Amino acid sequence: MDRKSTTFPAHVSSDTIARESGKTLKQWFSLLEAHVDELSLPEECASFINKEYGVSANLATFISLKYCAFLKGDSIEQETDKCFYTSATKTFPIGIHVLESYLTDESLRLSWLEPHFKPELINTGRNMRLSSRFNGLIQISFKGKGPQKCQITIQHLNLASEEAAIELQAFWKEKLNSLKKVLNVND
Amino acid sequence: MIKAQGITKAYGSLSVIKGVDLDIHKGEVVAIVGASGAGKTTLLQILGTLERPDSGELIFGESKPMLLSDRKLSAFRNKHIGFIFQFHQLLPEFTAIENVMIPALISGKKKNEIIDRASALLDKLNILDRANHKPSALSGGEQQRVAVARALINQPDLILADEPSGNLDSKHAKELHELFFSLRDEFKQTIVIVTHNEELARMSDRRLTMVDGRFSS
Ligand SMILES: Nc1ncnc2c1ncn2[C@@H]1O[C@H](COP(=O)(O)OP(=O)(O)OP(=O)(O)O)[C@@H](O)[C@H]1O
Ligand SMILES: [Mg+2]
Repeated sequence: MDRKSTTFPAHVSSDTIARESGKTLKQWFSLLEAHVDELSLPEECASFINKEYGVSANLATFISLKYCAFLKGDSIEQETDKCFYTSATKTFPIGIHVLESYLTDESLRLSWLEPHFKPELINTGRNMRLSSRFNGLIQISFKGKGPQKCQITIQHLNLASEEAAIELQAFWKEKLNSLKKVLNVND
Repeated sequence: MIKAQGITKAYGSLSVIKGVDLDIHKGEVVAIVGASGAGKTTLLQILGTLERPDSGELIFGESKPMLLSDRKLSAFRNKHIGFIFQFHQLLPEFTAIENVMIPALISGKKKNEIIDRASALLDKLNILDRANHKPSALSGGEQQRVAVARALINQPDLILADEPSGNLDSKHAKELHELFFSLRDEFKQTIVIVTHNEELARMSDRRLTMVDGRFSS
């Protein structure tokens, strides 16, 4: 069983966005602006970037959130420099739907997560978001690696500082360990 | 205002909508009820042009949206239809009023007008005092009202709601239902609601029961 946790201070910087998506934020913003008639929801912007330009779903979501921030008046630089994030991942020897139920089923969820975490935007068998009292955006994704093997990745995005990212890295690592105990599986 | 005729839809070999005719008038609140798996959500998605039917015709005012290309269809949907889902999909990093404003900002409307309209909607929904809070600081009922304001910001002709009060306690559910009727009375808003809530279905102008992909009469 592998376990991996990462923090990427300023990882989704302007440079990374340009390198990984092939366009700068500014270019993405003008592109989205050119499609005002077709777009109105942030998720539509993300799916447009993802489907039409093959940018990964996570990065597309990130760009569309930056776009929303820009539209409400934040400057491009101000926002991108504030982007710290962390992620933790773990693979368990159980099926995807069982693992997913440890988030969607309230009593199972409470066995390893505090009550203020609530799943939303559930995309069954793929991903969901967690709303919480924490700052930032928590995105969870699942990847089946066989009928009885599944990887869970927790990303905590849009954090204000490197300290917050490091603190939350430790937090999510510990949470995945608690989940492992609850699931009662071996390494 | 919207007419659907002979709508069918199958997923693979599973026939989900088996011939639905429907005529919805402006200013009407229509409730669709029925057992789980009857096809309510699928039908709502077809009415909302999110899914294309296998056969049948959808007439929206003077237009036939199903004849449009995907691009033009998105534009059509953005102009005419607002959606409210059971799980409000608010952005956690934006305040309540920003969440309401975003669809209008993305649609390229004027910012000053958007602020005025968003404030008026939040006021109407009794949550103006919560405007600058993030969703995590709002109750479930307040979040759902923000989602309703967001669905209204672009002034859609039709609102489609899929179990909008499914996640709310009875007090908040009641408030939300009263809101739908006041939108109808004040703005002649047309609303189609899929619901398991008996009281809401009873209060509606029309109640349609779906059984296994059809309306039963
Ligand atoms: N994308 C899809 N692919 C395959 N089958 C689907 C898809 N969407 C819905 N179905 C199937 O179509 C049937 C009708 O589903 P639908 O979601 O419309 O039911 P519903 O009446 O809204 O039920 P509920 O009250 O539980 O929400 C179900 O059997 C469902 O499993
Ligand atoms: Mg449904």
